[in-house]
Amino acid sequence: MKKVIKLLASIIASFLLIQCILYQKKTTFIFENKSDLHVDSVTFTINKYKNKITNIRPGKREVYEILRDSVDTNLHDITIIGSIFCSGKLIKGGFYHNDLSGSLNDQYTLTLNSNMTTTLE
Amino acid sequence: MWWEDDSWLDMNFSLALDQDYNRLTQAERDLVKIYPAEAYLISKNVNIATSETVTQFGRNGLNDKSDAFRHSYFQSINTRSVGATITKLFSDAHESEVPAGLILEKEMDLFNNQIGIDYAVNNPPRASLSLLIMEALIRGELRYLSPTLPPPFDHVGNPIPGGDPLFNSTHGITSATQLVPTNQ
Repeated sequence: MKKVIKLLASIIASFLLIQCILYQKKTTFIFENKSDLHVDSVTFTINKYKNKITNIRPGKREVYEILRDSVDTNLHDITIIGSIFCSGKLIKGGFYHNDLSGSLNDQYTLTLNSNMTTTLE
Repeated sequence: MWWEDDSWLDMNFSLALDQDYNRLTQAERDLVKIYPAEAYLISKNVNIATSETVTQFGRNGLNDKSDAFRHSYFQSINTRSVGATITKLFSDAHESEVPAGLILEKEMDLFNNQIGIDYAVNNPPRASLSLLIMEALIRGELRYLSPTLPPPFDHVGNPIPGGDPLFNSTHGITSATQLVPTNQ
């Protein structure tokens, strides 16, 4: 009987652990390179948090996820700066701000368009 | 009850309400427990106000006239959704933990929030709040911050010479920055 209870407890604990991992809130960052440029790197800065992706070929789309808890925000606004570097030089960027909520959205996309304009939304 | 349980709210609030409970100020969390339905309605208005600002200005700016409009319009539609009293409670609560360096931004937000509430209260339910607030902005009834240092990039992504390298934390505010009527 004790063994059955132990087994059940283990199953429940594992289930809860899996649920916790699955329900960790994430935000997806996307860089869409619609230009003919080979981009060395792109950095996303959210308040003090910074992340970098490298080597994005023309026409490619890079996606990465972050755990929301890894980003320290000020509870008032979300301010994001995306910077695009080519040959070691800052060439373009994007800026996003919203102060109606201090919550991160599910997804942000920085697009380098074929006409070399950008959007970050 | 579930709406009074911090752990439950932290895990589930974003799933239902588009907001992360742990990204709310303490004052906002306290209000969510008292007014969960109203919090839901207000959270749904965030995207409406943000979209309308982009429609009117082509961007969601920071400390500029589009920012003034966004706050006024958001609180005006919140007032229609949940009434002036609860809107005022939530809007003040959102500004309750603004970093000390952004105190002028807080003053701007609180000023423009009140204008939005007043326009919703003092106009018929079918009046276009977007139009009314845009007219008020043009007349200079709202406030924005000037002068400010520009962000690192313009609206099409070109680096701006002299853009504030610390923009993420300063929001372009300097010792010379003041609250200015939106007709200037």
